[in-house]
Amino acid sequence: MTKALRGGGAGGGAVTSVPRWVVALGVAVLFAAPTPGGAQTYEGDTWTTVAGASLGLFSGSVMGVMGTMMPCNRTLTGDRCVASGVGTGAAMGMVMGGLIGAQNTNALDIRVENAGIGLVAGAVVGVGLRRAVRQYDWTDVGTAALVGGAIGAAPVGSAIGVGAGAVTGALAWWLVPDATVADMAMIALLGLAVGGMVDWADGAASAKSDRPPPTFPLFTLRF
Amino acid sequence: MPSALRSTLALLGLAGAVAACGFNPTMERAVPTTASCPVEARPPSVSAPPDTTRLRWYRAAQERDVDLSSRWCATVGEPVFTPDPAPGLPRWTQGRDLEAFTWNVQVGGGDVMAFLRAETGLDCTDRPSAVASGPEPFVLLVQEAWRRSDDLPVIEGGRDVPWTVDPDRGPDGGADIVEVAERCGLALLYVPSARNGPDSGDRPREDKGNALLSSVRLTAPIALDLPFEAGRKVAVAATVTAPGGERVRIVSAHLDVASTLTRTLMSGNQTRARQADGLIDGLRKAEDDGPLNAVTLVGGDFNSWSARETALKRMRRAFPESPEWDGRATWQPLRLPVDHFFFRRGPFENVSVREYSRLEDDYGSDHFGRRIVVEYAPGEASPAPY
Repeated sequence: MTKALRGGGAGGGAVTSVPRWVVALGVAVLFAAPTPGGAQTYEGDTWTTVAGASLGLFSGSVMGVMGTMMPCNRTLTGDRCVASGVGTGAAMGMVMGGLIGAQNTNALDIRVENAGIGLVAGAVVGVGLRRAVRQYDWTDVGTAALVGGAIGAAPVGSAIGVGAGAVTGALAWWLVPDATVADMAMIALLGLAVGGMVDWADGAASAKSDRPPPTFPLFTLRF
Repeated sequence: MPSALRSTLALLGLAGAVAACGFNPTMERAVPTTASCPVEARPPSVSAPPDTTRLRWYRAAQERDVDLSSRWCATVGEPVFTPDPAPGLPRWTQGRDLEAFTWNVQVGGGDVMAFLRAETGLDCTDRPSAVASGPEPFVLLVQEAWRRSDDLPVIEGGRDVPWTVDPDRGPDGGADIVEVAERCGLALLYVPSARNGPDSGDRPREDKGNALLSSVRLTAPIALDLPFEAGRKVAVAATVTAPGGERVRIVSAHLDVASTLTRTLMSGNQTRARQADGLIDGLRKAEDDGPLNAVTLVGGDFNSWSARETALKRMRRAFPESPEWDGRATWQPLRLPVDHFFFRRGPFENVSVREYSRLEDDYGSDHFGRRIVVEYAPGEASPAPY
């Protein structure tokens, strides 16, 4: 392009000179612009839709339990309240996951890989818990791994949510006279679940764009 | 992504949903086939026994609960029931109120005799003068009561034995619940739930559980083997008789602080709600079996992380005359409201709660106790006692 501009006067006329910074800016703008047709690049099929829906169902169910088990344990209905939370999380996760799987196989692949990393991390935590808590057995290690996998499938939102929840809960514990450590844990888990579901929703909303799914550096690792 | 992974994910979700639907807090009457462990269910056609000093068992109905509880039961010793207190101890007579206390003694961390001396006026080292001072009749509902005995089976470890709780019991090693009852002349019902750690050879064999210590006569002892979560919990109940002849059932209960991770998630953190449901159901079945005790006082360590927990709400619904929580924590390390009393007077308008408070001294335990005063007003009309 630069050469063509410079060569505009090949016939011996006045040479038109374009400043280098303008050229650099032009190149930058060109590369920053969305690639036409990028949405079709990773478009999925029936199987990836089912896979995304399954992962979303699983992750959303776990988020539903984590988020509602403590607030619902302050209601008379208790278990029915948690069941409605699990159902809501599962339904939302299934829809969001299905949308991601249908529209962006790359985003789904990264979520699956992150779930795998979460699975391993959860298993490590589970082994630690098994050593620390006498009544925990290998079933609980497996459960911890599954929880890790569910969180890993929506890592950024979960991390931000649990962090914000923990800070809010700690402030509540500190400032509100009746608040206890249970309130802090409850708000942190609620933040985890809300953040995780927002992560899924954000993933579904941006699945058609070329924007890569949000990840922590750790979770961009691939096997 | 492999299709196997997809299928696994979907199946796991389905299995979780199905398993969560399978939790059941229902209790049933049980008959011990061995000395103390309730293994066989009682046939429903068998008629209920009369008021008796024989221990009656109720247990959770689910097979899993029965299996686990039976394994834990095999590690502990026999229950102890001494129905009659020593002569001279205060009885519940006309014009007197009944004081009841609930206290988790932390497996010997709490000094029960110091507690009795300060809270009831009963000095177990000088019982005659203490009795002469005229203390009110009382019942102490004890959780994490402990007993040392060489008669306990030798258990070297395993998942049916919790870790040892080893608080500072003072230079003499402390008095266990049986010794306290003997020295103080109190009626006692003690039903162990679990061992206090495996046998290591360097300390005596001990078990632990719930108990009732009473200055008034105890009858109709009941053990309620609650739905099993992380550990075995057996609530104990016995009946005291009010001045007008009304039967008042006193229940000492202890719920789990937390279940395993798997059960916590599968049940939606309904560990204590399930055990409270089991306790309510078991007491209802005991009423059905007779003799009736319309007035019921339940106290204990409910291990509630919040005073608004489902378990507590359900207890208050089942025991509608329960006193309101006073906003004070009873478990010190995290300042949690874990210890509570619940009360139901049924048709007896003349029996009511007059005072309810938290004690100001922990007497060495990690729990503060709670005190309730049950008032008896003979002048008011009430149904004839059963």
